[in-house]
Amino acid sequence: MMESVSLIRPELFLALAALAFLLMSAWFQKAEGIIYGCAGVMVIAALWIACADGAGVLLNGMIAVDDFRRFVKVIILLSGAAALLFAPSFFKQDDPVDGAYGVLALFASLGMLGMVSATHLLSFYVSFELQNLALYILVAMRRDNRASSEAGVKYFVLGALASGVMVFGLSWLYGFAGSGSYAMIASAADHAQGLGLGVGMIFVLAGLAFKVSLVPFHMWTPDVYDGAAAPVTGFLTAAPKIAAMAVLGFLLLVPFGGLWVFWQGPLAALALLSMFWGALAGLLQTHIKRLMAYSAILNMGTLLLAVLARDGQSLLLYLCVYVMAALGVMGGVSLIRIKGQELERIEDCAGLGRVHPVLAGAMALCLFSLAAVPPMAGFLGKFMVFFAAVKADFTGLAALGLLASVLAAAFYLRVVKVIYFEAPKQEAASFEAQGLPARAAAAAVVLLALASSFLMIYPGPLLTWTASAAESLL
Amino acid sequence: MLTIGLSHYLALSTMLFMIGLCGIVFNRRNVIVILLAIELILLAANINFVAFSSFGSLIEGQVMAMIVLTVAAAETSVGLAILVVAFRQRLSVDVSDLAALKG
Repeated sequence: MMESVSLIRPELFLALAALAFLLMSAWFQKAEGIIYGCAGVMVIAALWIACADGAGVLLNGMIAVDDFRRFVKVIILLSGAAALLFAPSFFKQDDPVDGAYGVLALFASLGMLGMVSATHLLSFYVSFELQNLALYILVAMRRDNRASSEAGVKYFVLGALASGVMVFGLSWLYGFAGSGSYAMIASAADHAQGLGLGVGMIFVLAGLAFKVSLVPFHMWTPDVYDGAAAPVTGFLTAAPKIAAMAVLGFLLLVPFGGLWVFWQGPLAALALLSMFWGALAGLLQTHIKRLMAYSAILNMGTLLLAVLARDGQSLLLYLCVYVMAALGVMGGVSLIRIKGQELERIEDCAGLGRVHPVLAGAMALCLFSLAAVPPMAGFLGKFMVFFAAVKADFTGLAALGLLASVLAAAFYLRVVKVIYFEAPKQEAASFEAQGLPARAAAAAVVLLALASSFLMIYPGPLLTWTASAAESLL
Repeated sequence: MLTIGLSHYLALSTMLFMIGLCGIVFNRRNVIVILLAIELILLAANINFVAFSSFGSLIEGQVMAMIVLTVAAAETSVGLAILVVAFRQRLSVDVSDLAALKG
């Protein structure tokens, strides 16, 4: 028993640290210190998980540890830490930051780790809700901001509806499998192609599709991304998307593997709708955060092709690559100021290339990676996903996906054009490079941009790591 | 004489679920009513859990029902807190007042 609990030491450490920081944020006024502390805790836990090995099922069959889960947990924690780095410099100028920001991000990450580790409907549901509740508060955290509170209410209402639909599906799964454990559901799905299990699974799929914002469950995404503070939007583009997408892939391929007749059609439809709606609606956007929302919709749709093709490696690789680039862009957005106001409209980026060449260059590299321009990592990710889809005989879907991502490249490149080639208006973009917080955030953006370009040139380690992680999936 | 079986419970829970869903989709006025409707959906799931548990002699489902109740309470408290923040700025909890973000 002691032996098996040692497998989740990093998670226990994270939980205790979250509680400790919660107490500290009540006593100390140093909010920035608490946020950096939380980011540090996430990095330590990520390194701890990455260095650990061994697999097993623990806590009476509630939680499992294996290579797939370990990889997903590491990228969730690292992306969460990167998003936390953007916060202190952003909040310094508008309204005073609350240390609770870091604590809530820690609790949300803990929920995501639980979601990924779960091997039982009960542990899955509880950690799913832990993550959701923390995210609702994060979105509504700027109490003096009308947009933020509106986004919070919208996210809460639609999110609670989605999790209600999901728990209704869980009750059907439990009833028709006779147990909540994934292993029992898998054997029930293999033996009886039950309609009851299929109904439950469709409800669960709808709940998760909401979380990863697939069309037609995406309505909240642009509004919430727009209304939340830029660092919170950064957090939302990365960690929750990784967790929900990995869980979606895992659930469909492993416990619901025997029910593929029920999910294949709906999943292909979700993929097509998300890719095209994301690409077409993205072309019309004037606000950068809304653009990133449609980019998320498009990329999550593309990822479904990897699930359909049953290819764990391209799923993980694409998640990594997308998250790095999207975080880089959102980091840039949270650093840029227009006359002291936060950046909202794309056209306000004009002249950034001249005023802040380093930040502009980093953002442009990330945008190129999102647009899947060949020397960037984004190209590798898209190539792997479409290649896997073609290999699994989804040639038509892959061709349509390719078309959608070409359309989408137009909106990313439009931002690059505004940054470099449009004349700045009198209120030029500025970002406060003074002060350590802004420097740390800028360094994180540059690092993400460099990683996005370096991964294509030297993809070896990531390829082998994702391959070995995917091996334990199927 | 009619005996009440599993299918009756499932029908009841499905009806509750549909009522909750309609309460959210067709409600154009008050956000508090949406909270009530969400609660109905969670209770529908709970009826399922307990019915399956009792008819299949599996104790697990009753534990799940307790946990869902607890989580529902936490969810409502977070939702009400967010509503208070929104109310302070608008002095209403009307759904139509929450339409500034669009595009």
